[in-house]
Order: sequence, then C-alpha cells, then structure tokens
Amino acid sequence: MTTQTAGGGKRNGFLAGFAGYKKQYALCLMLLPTIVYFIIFKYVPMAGLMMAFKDFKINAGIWGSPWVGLKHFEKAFASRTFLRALENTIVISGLKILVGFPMPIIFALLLNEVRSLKYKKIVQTVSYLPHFLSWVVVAGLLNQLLSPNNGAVNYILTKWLGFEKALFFLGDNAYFRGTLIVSDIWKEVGWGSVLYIATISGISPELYEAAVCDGATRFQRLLHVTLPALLPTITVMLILRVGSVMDAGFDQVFNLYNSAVYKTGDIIDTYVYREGLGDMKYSFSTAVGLFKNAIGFVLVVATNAITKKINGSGIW
Amino acid sequence: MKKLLVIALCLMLALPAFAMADATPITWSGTISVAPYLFGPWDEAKDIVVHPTEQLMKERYGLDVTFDVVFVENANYREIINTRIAGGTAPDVFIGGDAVVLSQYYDQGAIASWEVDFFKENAPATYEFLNNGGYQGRLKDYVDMFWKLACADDGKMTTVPYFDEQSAMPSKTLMYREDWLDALGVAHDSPDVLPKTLDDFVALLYRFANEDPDGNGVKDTYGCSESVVRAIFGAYGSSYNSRLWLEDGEGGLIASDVKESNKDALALLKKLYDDGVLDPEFVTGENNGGYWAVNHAFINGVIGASCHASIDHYRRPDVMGDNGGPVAIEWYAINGADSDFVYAPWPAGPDGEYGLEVGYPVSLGTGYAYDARLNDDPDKLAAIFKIMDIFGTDDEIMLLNCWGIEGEDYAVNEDGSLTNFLNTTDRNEKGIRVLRGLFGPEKVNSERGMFLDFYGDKTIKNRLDFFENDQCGMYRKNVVRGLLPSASEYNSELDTLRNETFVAIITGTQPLESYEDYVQEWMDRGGDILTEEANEWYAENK
Amino acid sequence: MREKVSWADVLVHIILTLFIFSVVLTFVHMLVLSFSPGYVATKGGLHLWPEDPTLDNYAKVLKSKYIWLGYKNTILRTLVGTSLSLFITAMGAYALSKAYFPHRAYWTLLIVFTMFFSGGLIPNYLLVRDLGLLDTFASMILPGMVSAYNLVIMRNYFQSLPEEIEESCMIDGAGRFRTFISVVLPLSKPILATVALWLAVGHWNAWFDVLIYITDETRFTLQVVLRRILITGTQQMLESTQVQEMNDYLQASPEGLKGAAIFVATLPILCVYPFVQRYFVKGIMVGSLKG
Repeated sequence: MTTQTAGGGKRNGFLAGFAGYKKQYALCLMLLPTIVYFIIFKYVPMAGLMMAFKDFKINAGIWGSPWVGLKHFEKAFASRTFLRALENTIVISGLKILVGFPMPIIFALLLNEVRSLKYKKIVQTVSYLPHFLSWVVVAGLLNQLLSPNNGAVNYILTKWLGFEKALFFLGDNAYFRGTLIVSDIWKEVGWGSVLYIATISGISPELYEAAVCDGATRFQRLLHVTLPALLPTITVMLILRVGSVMDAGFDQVFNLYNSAVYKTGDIIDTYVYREGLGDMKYSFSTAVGLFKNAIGFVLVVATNAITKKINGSGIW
Repeated sequence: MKKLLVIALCLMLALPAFAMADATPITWSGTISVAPYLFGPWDEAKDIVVHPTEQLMKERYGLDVTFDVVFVENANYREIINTRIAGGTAPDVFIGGDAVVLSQYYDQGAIASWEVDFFKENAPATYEFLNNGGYQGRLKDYVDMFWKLACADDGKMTTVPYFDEQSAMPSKTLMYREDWLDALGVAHDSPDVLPKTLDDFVALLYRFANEDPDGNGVKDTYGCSESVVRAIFGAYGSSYNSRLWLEDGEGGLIASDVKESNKDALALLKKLYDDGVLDPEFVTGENNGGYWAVNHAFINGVIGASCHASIDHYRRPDVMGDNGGPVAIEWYAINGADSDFVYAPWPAGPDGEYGLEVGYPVSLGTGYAYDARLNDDPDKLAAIFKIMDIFGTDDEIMLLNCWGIEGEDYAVNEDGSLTNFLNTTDRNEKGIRVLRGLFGPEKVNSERGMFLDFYGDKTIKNRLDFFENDQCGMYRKNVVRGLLPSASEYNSELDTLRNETFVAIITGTQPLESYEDYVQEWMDRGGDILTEEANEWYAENK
Repeated sequence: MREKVSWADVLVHIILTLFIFSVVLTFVHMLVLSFSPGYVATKGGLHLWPEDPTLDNYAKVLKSKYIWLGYKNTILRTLVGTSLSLFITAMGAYALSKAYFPHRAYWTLLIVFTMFFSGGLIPNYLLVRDLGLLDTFASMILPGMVSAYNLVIMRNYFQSLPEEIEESCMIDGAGRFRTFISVVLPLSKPILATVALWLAVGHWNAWFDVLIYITDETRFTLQVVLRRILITGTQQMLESTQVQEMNDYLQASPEGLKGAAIFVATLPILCVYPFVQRYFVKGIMVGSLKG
C-alpha cells in the first residue's frame, strides 16, 4: 500500500504535490465537476461581498456604487440594540450547541439499545416528523400549550405539581431562552439522529461479539464500541455546528418572540429584520452577514485545529 | 342653402369621430407588465378579463397593447421584486408599498419619475378628478397633501395615490361581552348608559375580573388585554404602539412616545396588571394565530372588553343581508346564536381625550411605482397613463375589470350602485381586478369608479351610520404628514425601545420611576434628531 | 442468548415513548383540525377527534389544477436533483478522502470556505441571469448542486472505509472509477441513503429559489402552489387593508387550511424515510474484510 505524504518541508511538499495530479488523474477527474461548480456558483458571486463596504445603489450596480469603508459596521456596533442582539445570539446558540448537540447522539444511542426491531422502526419514523413542520405551525401550537391562562403545561404545573403561579414561558425573560432550546430539541432531535443511526448501522457486529466475549456490560459496549465508532462523525458534525453559531434560528425566534422578551431573545437576524431589511438596505444586511460569517469561519478554523491536536483528525 | 345644410349635417355626424380621435391618438404599442398582489391563480382570467380588455382598447382607442400579469408572491414580495430590480428584470409596474420604501427606491434610482404636467397631459380626466378633491370634491382641503404624497422632494411624481376617506375613519370598535354585562346587571340598551369616563370604565373592568361573570366559580376571568391597553393610552392622549407627533401645547411638536401623560397611563396599567385585571398574556396579544382580526381572548371568554377589531369584522348578520362579518361568524359559532357582543363608546381620560389614532383621507394604497427604465421610454409611460384614464372614463372597461360580467357576476341597482354576486374567493379565481396597478392604486380614480367602489357601497354606508352615533370627533392624528428625513434611520430602534419599556413597566420588570430614564434614552438614540426635524417641518407647514 | 430486561431498558422505553407520544399527539391534533371548519381552531384546546368534520379544507387545496402540475414539477426536480447531486458529491468526496490526493487540504479548505462566505441574493441572481438560466428547470438544480456540508460528511465516511478493499480490486486491474462504482459505493449504502434523504427533502421542500428564478407558472413546484392556495383562502379576510397585513399571510390562513396544505405537501416525502431505513442495515461490512 503506497501512501504519498506531503514530503519534507512545507514548501517542498506544496510544489511536489503538483506531480500528483498526473498520477491521480482519475481522482482529479472525479473531483473536477465539484470544483467547477464551486468556482462558478460560489466564488464568482462572492464578489458581491463588496457590498458590505459600499452604499449599494441599484442604478449604479455593485461596481458603480460608492465606497464607504466600514460605515455599516460602525453603525451596527454603535447600536445598543445590535450589541444586545449579538450577545443573545451567542448565548442562545451556545446553549443550543451545549445542550442540543448531544441530543441526537444520545437519541441514536438509546434507539440502538432497543431490541424490538418493530418498535425501533416506529420510533425512528415518528421522531423525525416534527422536522417537517414549519416554525409558523409549531409556534402556534406552543402558544396554546404554554399559555399561562389555560395552557396544558401550566395546568399540570399548578394543579398537579403544586406551583403557585403559572409560568409565562413565552413572555418572561427567565424562561424564554429555555423554551427556545427545549422546543428546538423536540423539533430536530429525530431528524438530526439519522446520520448517527446510519453510522451505527455500519459498525461490524463482530466487534460487539468480541466485547461480549470479554465480559463487557451493555453500558461498556456502548462506551467502548459504539461511541468510538461514532467519534469521527461526531467530530465533523461538531466542527460544522460550531461554524453556524451566529445563526441562532431566525424562523423560530421570529415566530415566538414579542417585546417582553427582546432583552434575552432578540437575536441579530430579528434585529436586522426589524430594521426594514426587506427594503433596499442591502449594504447593511450584507455587512452584518459578513460579520456573522467571519466569526463562524474563525471558530471553525479554531475548532478544527483543536480537534486535530486532540484526535489527530479534523476537516482539513 | 341645401348645401349648407348638408355641410352642417356632415359636421354633426363627424363630430363624434372628432371626439374619439381627440380622446387618444396613441401610437405606442407593445406589452405592459404589472405585478399586483395576486390572490388566486389568475390564469383562467386571461380569457375572462384580460383579453377582452385588450380587445376593447384596440377597437375603441386604437391601442395595440398586451397586458402581462406577473406573479410575485405576496409574502416575499419586497425581496423578490428587489432582486428583479437589481437584475433588470422587474415588471413595468410594481408595488412600492409605503412612503418609506418609495423614497428609498427613488433615491436608488429604481423607479421612474415624471412631471405633474406630463401626467395632466396624458391622463386629463384623472388629473382633473384628483385635483378637484376627488368624489364630488369632498376632499378639496386635502389636494395639497395629495400632490405632496405623490411627488418626491424634487417635485416630480413617482406614484399615483388616491383619496380614501376610510383611512380617516376609526378602524377599531370597543365591545363588551353581552353575557357578562347581563351577569353583572349592567344595563346596555343604548351606548349612552355604558361607561364613558375612564374611571367608570376601569371600574367595570374590575368587576369583570373579580365578580365571576362566567359563573363557573373559578377566578379565571380578566377585564381586558392588549387592545384595551391601546384604548387607555388613547384616553391619555397618546399611543401605545405607534409614533404620533402631537402638539405639545407650547407651539411645538412632541412624539407620543415621550409624552408626560404616558406615565399616568403606565401607572394605571401597572395597577391593572398587579390586580389581575389586565391579562398577563397581553404581551402576546389577543390573537392566537390564524386571521389577525380574531381576538381569541375575547371570543373564548377570557376577557370582557376588547377593541381589537372593527365593526366590519364584527358586523351582525342581516345588516348587509349576509351571515355577518368574518369574526362575528366565529363568535356565534363558538358562543351560540343567542349570544351577542355590545358596541361601546370609548372611555375618555382626565383631559377628555379618547379613542385611537386615525390617518388622513389621502392614501398611497399599495403604492404602485414604475420601473426606472420607463424614464427612457416616455411614449410607453404616456401610454400607461392614457390607459389609466381610459379605465376611469370608459364605463364598460371599468366594469369588466372591477366587477366582471353583468348579470353573471353583478347586477346594477336603481341608484346606479351594484350588487355583487361573487364572494372574494370566486372573484379572485375569475381574475377580476387582476389588472389593478394599471388603473391606479387599487381603486379607479374617477367619479363613477369611487361611487361604485366606496360611496355607493352598503358596507360604507353602514360604517358611516354607525359612526354618527359614536363619539367620533376626537381621534388623534399625526400632525406631521409625510416622512421625516431621518425616519428610516432611527424608527425601528426607537420603536423597539418604546415597546420594550412600556411592557417592562406594566409587568413590573422595570419600576415606574424609570420612565424619565427611558425618555432620556429615547432622546439619545436619535429621538432628539427626529424631534428637531418634526419641529422644523411644523414651522414650515403650519 | 437473551438478556434480562433491566431497569435501563425500562427507562429507555419510557423516555422514547413519551417523546413519541408528544409527536403523535401533535400530528393527530393537526390532522383533526385539517378536517374541521375554521371556528373549531379558534376555540383553542387540543383536538383529538373531529367534532364537525368537513372536507372543505382539502377540497380547497386539491381542486386547483395547479396542484397536480406542482406535484409533477416537484417530483421531477427531486428525482433529477437528488441523483445528480448525490453522484457528483460522492465522486468529489471520494477523491478528497484519499490522503494522497494532491493539495488535499487546500482543496478542502476552498470548499469549506464557501460555507461561510457567500455573495448574497442579488449576486447569485445576477449570475443565474447571466448564465441564461432564468425561468428554466436547470435553475432549480444547478445553483445548489453540491453542498459543502454533504461533501464533508461523505468524505468522512469514505475515509473510514478500509483501504484494503479497494486495493485488492485495483490490483486485479480495475480502474479507479470502476473500483468506486463496484466496490466503494455498495459499501457506502448507509451514507448514500442518508445524504440522498437530505437532498430529497431539500428539493421537495424548496420554494424560495423557485420564487426568485421562475416566472412561468406552469413550472411552479408544489410548495409554491400551496402557498398560493393558502393565500387564496385568506384574501377575503385581507380585504380592508393595510400593506403590512399582506406580509403576515402565512400566519393569517385558517388553521384548518394550513393543516390540509401541510398534509398534502408532506405526506409523500414522509413515505420516503421507511424506504431509506432499509439501508441502515447492520452488518454491511460483514464479509468484506475476508482475505
């Protein structure tokens, strides 16, 4: 088995790489359509990012519009509402990653422990249904369910569990973020577990049999066979998930929030929406988008480097 | 002598021909594309409405034109149209929306503009109708305002508004639950015996909350929710969720966001909240989804008073010979055919103020604008206005486009008004009114057009009759007409601040004393600039 | 050898059952509302049995001839789009999964970079316009053809396949591409199924790109047609009105109509998952390591 590693010094390796193209021409051909696609459909329009530094005027187009440098970024950072939205975005997203990211994994692991194949299939199929509901619909249901006046949840809390006062989940800053996170988990856990279930299904049963022979309990099998097999997938998913930390879920927040919870619930995207971004303020929205994405990218690079140090593998 | 007679006869016969030829010698021909809000698959309408119209235009006016109706989804209209504008593929006529968007479009060179005289030349009948104050000249006093609305800062027109008395009429009505009034022994045979002052009104709200009007032995009722919060702010001469520039009594203007009286309103509301009279769910509103005008809290017996909807939504059956307004239908379905709601007068505050805000009788409607490429094609733009005039003056074309086919879709009454056979859904499927945008801003700007659409309409009569009996005089109007220069810069931020603070004070998250800090904050975030601009406007336009 | 049922088993079953229960309740509620007239939804509360059943909502949704056109366009788009994307992404992911691929890290970075930085709506629209793809079937397939996310995940899977399998095939004289098709792909059924599912759902549910790029109404996909129907059912209520109400229409449609639209739109794609599950079969690697 021959493996060609990127030679001695870095410079040497980079130049030496060019020789590989001829040698691996079949692989190159296989990659070609992808690269062509990315160049045409991703890199060519990227020039539009310049709008973040210009005052876009329709009749002047992207190139003719006047250059304004960092004006839009300054405007954003001068706004206290924006800064608060930034904080909320990071906190909500962070919580979603911390609490929400492990959920599909745990769900897949739990499912794996179910022995009845029929039950397993039923659970799997039902679990991913909520993903297909739009937040418009789910918000409507949550409004009813969580109502402090006659919602089912508060009914249970006050009548069965002896709470003194009903909790206004959607109208109280103390509970709003929690509501966002829990409802997001409910909606996405089934769908998000598909990849993990698929990966688990690829684990050779011989590995499990060997573990049983060694006297491993169910929990030990989970820990030493299943999890390690999932680790590469988990790593990649985590890195990618971290990259979207600036996206706290516009659809969800927009349909659930109100002025009582702006303090903890207003995120960058809802703030930008209220600024009337449907109108012609393209430059401003491009600038904010650029800022969000730059942060996401930096985080991905950092996470990637960290996982490489720990695991030896990253995305690149 | 005989010769003279023949000549005279010929002239007389020829005269109509002259009149027709005089009307519109249109040389332009081609396709005009328009993208109105579409509410149905209008494809079938091509044959019912569009092609016949094109035919009539050709026969009568020698106009060789094809109409292309473009579908742009309503919910994402703004974004889609903006993309098309940037790509140069926008239709000729599209929706500008409101004054803010129109001015932005104009600044960016996205829409066309033209001189008022150009409009006068090509749509003379429409121009005259508008310049004389609309239907029967009723709104003569607002003609200046009309032209200001139609034109950009440089005096050129960018859109064609219309006169709309509806905008100047109150759009919400206060109501009580009849069963609760009966349970509490409150008389309601006429509006006069119902509470008229704020104190009496609040007392009634307390009774709703505390005296178990639904008789189920559980304290699960409230007096009111979000809509009444607005009415209470109105009673203090201010506004809960919009910005009105009002006279401050010292010769200048002040924003309703920061009026002194807000503090009193907030104090009262805080008390109502703490005492369990104001529904804590007021922050999410009375509507739980679905059609916006349905105030679930009121219909389902959570609150006793609401001004969330209008008397059109809550129109009783048989007033118009139908099943009633859309929300009234739900009311009766849920509460029973014997139940009812009671229209009530607005409570007046300590300074005698009451009600909510109204607008001015000049409206942009949907604010149709014309793509900037028409600046380079004045013949086409002229043709568009000539067509607008034709819609206004040619009865048959107007009726076909706005009402459908006589006998099948409508019938003409004795007084000239129409009885419509179709409901809205059927109308949309037939494609009636699918060419709006070409005949102006949703309504036809002519005597006959406005009569058929508005003044001759029974619903309007119903509404006008109702308001005879209501305290109608003291609704608040925004003194500043038009846009302040920095409006789009600061509006959204100040709105967020105001909405948040008011809710926080009412629910107790923030103390009442923080109001002064809020006023200062409001000023710091751009409110001072807006106030300055408002006062400048006031000085110029007094 | 059957193991005893332990408390862990019971706990797992309780948790899963509670979760399933909540989902089923939700869908039953929506199903019931879709068979009920408007005022039932106004009443609020949980509805598990229709009290005034009606087929009106479904009639409104299904009677439009555009629905069937919509189904056709959507099915076509989903089939073509999914297979094309799957194939091209798989090829690219396979190539990049080889550690000896020249400048592998740079190519990967090039691709991942695009996940974060994008020109935005207008530049993309201008590109599609300039390519002459406006109002074409291709505009629904090409602009989103390769997803960097899918590519990375597929590459990750290919990396986990043992090198020996391909080696033995290539030693026997098969070319790289041949090996890919006859050896690698069959072993990759789980990941192919997963990504195919993601792609199919993405195409099936897509509507925004259609709105932007397509103007010919006969090309509209199911979701777009349904959105139009939802608003048809509501315009009579939006009559009086201010522009901002138009923008809230999706919220404005009666719950029953919304429910009917959801079921009409989603039922077909929901049926895809059970098929996909067949590929999540244990033991796909058994027997591949011999020799």
